[in-house]
Amino acid sequence: MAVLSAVTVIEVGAGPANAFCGKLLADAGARVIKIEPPDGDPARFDGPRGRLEDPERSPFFLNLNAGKQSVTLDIETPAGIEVLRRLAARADVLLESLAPGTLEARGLAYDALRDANPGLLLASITPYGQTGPYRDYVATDITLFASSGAMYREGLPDREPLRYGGHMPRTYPGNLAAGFIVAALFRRRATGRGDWLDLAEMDAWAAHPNQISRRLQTEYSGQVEAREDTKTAATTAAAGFGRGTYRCLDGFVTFLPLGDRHWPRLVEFVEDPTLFEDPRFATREARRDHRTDWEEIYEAYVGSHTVAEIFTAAQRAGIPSGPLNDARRLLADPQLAERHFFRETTHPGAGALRHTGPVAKSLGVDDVWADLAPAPSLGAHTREVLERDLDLPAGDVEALARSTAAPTPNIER
Amino acid sequence: MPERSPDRVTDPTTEPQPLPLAGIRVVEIAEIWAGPVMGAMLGDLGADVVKVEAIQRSARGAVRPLPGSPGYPNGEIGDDPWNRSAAFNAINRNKRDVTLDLHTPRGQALLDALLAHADIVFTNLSVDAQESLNLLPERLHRANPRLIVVLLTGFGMTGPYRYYRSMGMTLDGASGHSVLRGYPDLDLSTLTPVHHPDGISAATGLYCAMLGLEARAQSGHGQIFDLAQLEAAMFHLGEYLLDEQLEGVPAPRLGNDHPWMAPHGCFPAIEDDTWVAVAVDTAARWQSLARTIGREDLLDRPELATIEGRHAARDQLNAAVAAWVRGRDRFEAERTLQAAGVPAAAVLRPDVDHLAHAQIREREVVVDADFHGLGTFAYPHGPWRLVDSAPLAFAPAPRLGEHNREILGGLLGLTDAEIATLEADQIIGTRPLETADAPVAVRRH
Repeated sequence: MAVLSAVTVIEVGAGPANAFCGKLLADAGARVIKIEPPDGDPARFDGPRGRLEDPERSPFFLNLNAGKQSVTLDIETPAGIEVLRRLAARADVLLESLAPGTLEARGLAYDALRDANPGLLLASITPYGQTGPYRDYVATDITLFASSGAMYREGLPDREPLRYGGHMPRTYPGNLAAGFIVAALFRRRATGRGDWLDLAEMDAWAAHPNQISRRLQTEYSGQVEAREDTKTAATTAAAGFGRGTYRCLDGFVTFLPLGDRHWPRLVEFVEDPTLFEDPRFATREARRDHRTDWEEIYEAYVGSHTVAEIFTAAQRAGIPSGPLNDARRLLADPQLAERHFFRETTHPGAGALRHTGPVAKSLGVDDVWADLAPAPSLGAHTREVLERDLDLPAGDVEALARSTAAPTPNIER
Repeated sequence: MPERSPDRVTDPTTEPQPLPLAGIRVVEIAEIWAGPVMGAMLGDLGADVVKVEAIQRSARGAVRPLPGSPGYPNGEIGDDPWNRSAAFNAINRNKRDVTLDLHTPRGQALLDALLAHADIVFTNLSVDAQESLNLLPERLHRANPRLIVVLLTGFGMTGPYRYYRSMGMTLDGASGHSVLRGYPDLDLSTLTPVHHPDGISAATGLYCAMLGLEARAQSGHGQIFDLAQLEAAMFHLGEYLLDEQLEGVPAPRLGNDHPWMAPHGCFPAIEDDTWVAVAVDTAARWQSLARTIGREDLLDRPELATIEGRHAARDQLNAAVAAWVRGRDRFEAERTLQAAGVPAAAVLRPDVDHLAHAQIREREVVVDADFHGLGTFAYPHGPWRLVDSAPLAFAPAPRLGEHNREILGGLLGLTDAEIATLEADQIIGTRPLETADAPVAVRRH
């Protein structure tokens, strides 16, 4: 049995952070019950090409919620709040992203939840956390990324800073929270007690290694980060030669040679040993002074070969490098195929799909990961959860199910 | 629910609980970012993290940096620059430190002894380095079969790329993230290098280690996790792979545009090189935004009443937002829009802006401390809160080999004479060798 098979998670609230966290928990076998509003979680209508009509075909929703159950509930009504309270009283984790103060306003403050279920872990992931001067701020991926400290340096110095792709600004905090949640579950074996995890998405990014390194450099020696055009910024001999993204015949490859000490590897890579005798490149200082000449040689070599040739050659020379893959290349990638990185589901609306994951391979004797089930249709488990988990009589379930009405299409919220 | 004894349920109105990993010991053999950040978080959660380094290899910056090099306190490299490096000290909080030359039989024997006292061992060294240092999982489990082993490599322990070299920046491209970024009018060679994958790997490594503890608690068995950083990063982009399968052609690259939100973008504020990100995702927020920026006239336009209509007119809507933001300080713009319930945020620099920011200070993302007498600086702290627990650990990054005596003597029982011999033979030490900077030769495969 997968390692979290005995764990029940109630996931409530919109946004990628808690949904991604719930996804990780579901992959390890937790029963993740996703509470959706009667119209459906907003992710069902969020597409990479535009707004979606069909709530069962969103790649974003299908990805984030594979393996979960769906219960529709209007948690702004007394009946809905009561159902949520009863679910929390029997669950191991309440994973929520509601606006701070919402649970408390509805009689579900942490103290009350804990009194009813001392072993409950309340995990709250919100853009700015449960405390502090920004707790009531609202966010989307781009605005959260602006606060993160990671956005400023993205892009060219004379243009607007760029957002990161996909929903990564908000899924990364969910990735962090999963570890903290399982740590608390592990401790509960000894103490019997739950806890309240309060994670701010902005804080998660502010504590990312890129940001904390940058910040302590400033603290120690006063340097401040500058936005730079990586192609033309070469101010020290240690700055990268052949560092950055370069065009090949059929795509791009990114290189990160580790400073001047990798010079011999770069010469080997471009297959021109005469460069060792070339006075333009004889010393570290000379290499820095003739950087433009070097860049021309490098670009010409890379530009006359394919991505596959360049990636292989760079790796043979010991240069950290990677192709710029897109989804199509990844789905055909030989390394991922060898590692069996993709899992198949068949979804009633969307059909057969290959999903990423699990997120690591378990090589030990115990089962860690569960088989992947497709993402749930809206409200597919409402009756099952209300009858089985809450021991409610069938008549009450009918009344509750009717009050959490069937979804109405294309509601603009 | 997992089985637990009712006798063990403690009164929740009493003391805060011990940290989740109190009593757990971790051995870290890791460099740079992904592994060491995972170790720092294990330490935040209360584990005793023992970092194993070597005086034969410098992973703390240059052994002899040029005087005045950046990244040292007050610009002074001092007598022991390896203990004064911002890059190292930022990343390695909450650890003890020993040095062991793992290229020697004695170093290997000491590692075995240390592992016998550990619950978790992890490394982000490459497969190459693991092989040359005898750190493969089979060996680790011979030393202690109950270990939770977590291996963070670029491409995984298996497969045609297993010996390939990677850094966060190259994994960003390989995992599919890079092609989703950038200005749509410029080609991908203009992309800014980023290192986001390292944070993902650290978070995922932590998650695996915790699953390992849970699994061992259930079965009594040790665990092994083979975490490919490529795969962990791809896991955040699963929707693009599903989208490719559903549509058959790649989703377009949009820069700061959004597939359906409008207005949406990053707009210059009054001061040079300051910016505000603004995004509108609902009808209510659209109405609120229009009123706040003095463009109620737009609310009378029927074609702007739907999401599709606003998206079609996004250039015009973005221009309206830009005109309003342009005349304002970025924080004033952020405050005003947030007060109206509109998602908006000033672009913050991770250094000067974060250090002055109320969120960062009040939430203890940084805490002032004078570690090792280097002076008082704002150091990174675990950024989350566990309300019913003791406070997260907050201890300095260790000096090189700082705990050799404490661990080899105190934990492993070596005598002073034995420790002195190890120092004389350079198996252990507290100063890197002069040769510690030399690059490791490339092994061909």
